[in-house]
Amino acid sequence: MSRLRGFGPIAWRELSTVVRTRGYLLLSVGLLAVFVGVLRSGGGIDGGYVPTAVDLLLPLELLVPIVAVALGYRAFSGDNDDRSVLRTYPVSDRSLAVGVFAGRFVGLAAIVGTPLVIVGLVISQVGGPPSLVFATHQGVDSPVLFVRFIALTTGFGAAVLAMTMAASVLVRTSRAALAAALAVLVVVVAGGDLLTLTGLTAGVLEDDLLGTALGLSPNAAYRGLVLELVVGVATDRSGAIDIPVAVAGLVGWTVVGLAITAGVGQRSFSLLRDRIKTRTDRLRAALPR
Amino acid sequence: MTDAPILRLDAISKSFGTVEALSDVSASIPSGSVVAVVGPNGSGKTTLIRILVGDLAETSGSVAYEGPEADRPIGYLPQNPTFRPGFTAAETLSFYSSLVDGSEPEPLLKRVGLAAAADRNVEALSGGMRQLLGIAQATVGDPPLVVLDEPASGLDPNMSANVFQTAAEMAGAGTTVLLSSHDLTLVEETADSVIVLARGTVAASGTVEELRATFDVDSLRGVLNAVVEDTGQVAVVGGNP
Repeated sequence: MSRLRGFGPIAWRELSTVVRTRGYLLLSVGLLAVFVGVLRSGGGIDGGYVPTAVDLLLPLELLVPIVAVALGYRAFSGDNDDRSVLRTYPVSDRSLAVGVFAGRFVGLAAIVGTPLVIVGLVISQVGGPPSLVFATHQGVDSPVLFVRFIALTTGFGAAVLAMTMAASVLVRTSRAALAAALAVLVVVVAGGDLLTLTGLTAGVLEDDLLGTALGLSPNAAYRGLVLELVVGVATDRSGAIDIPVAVAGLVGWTVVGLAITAGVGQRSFSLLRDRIKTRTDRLRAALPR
Repeated sequence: MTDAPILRLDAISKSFGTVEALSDVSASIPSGSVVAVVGPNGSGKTTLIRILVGDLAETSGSVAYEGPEADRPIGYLPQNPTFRPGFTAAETLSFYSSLVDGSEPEPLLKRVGLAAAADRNVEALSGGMRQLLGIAQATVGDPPLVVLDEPASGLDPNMSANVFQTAAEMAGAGTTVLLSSHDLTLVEETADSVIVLARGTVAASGTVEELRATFDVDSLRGVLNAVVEDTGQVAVVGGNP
């Protein structure tokens, strides 16, 4: 059996599911409304592409994980879960995990990317100083930088989506899947930053390791990469984060998430879970009531 | 029916934590026959079926498929089939077909009497119609062995009889059908052989006639009552999967 047999139909079914779910369309419209509100109050849109990216960065650190969680937690729960049947088809666990991820990621890119593209088009019509297509030196605004901003935003979404899918397959019920996905949301939005801050204040983390530590947290990696590769190109600010570590961090979270999603279907994982349950039951029985 | 087994179960045991749901279950499923697994609630029927279709890993023992090579050796109808909301019955079967032979969904829907509901969304199907769609799904790709976990659940008596008739026809055409059911009358009429499970073990097995003779009773219900010593209570031996 080919390692990715069945990938195409599975990815297509996931994408079709996203397209047919009206709630996701409303989510995209809601994002556009939030962007308009943020940009009206922040005034970034008058300044051009880079000021707009700066204005949208903080809201997106919260909104992208919300969209990713909304898409990811139902991937393997309730009526969407037909893994028991799919196991009788020539579809590997890897095909299933990657196919579901790919279909839902395209949906996420459309939900988040479409309002951002609309914002970009509005900037091209009304936005601030004259822009060059290629930002060849610092201090130049450019639509290319905004495209880079959109790409980094969807990359951040991919990492959170994969983490949410992994969390949802580790539990058995739809309610538990939602709880696990919300836990991912909290960890992504606040956990990494809090952990780094705690490490710094406790003296566990040295200052020169700050950029590396932040790169391992998904939202800090995203924020740092935007500051380095979008804002930093147009300004003289840099050094917000260790770029290779941040890229490796986002890619790593995505790969680990997918590996867990694929691995949970394996027999070895099932047996491991049974052994853990046996030990837990025995321990519970041994404890005095 | 041939004597050659299509599936061999050897000393299967399954524990959920400290609860043993199946203990040392061995059986062989002959090709081209209808084999029924019966037993009271909690006897381990669904756990056994999930293990033999590969949905659950056995704690010990082994399952060996010995049938002809096929893209999809075993078709499966779970006890509670789920279908992706927003898709029609035909689209649902087309998706599953695209994973194997890419065949059209119409003949599969026609076989289970759902041709008229081909364009209806799955969430608009009644419980019985969903069950029939699940049976159609189990036959996608013409698997040599079709496993149906309580296929008559939620169906009216006529439709239940129709499902068992379909199972018998499939066996006549060379497909092996293994099913679990609480409808002992239909099992008696249709099954070539019966495996009786009680408290996670094989309490008896054989043809209906052999079982009746062994327990000196005149019905499969009598066999079941003799085997499990009906207490009117649910035998709780399984756990959460």
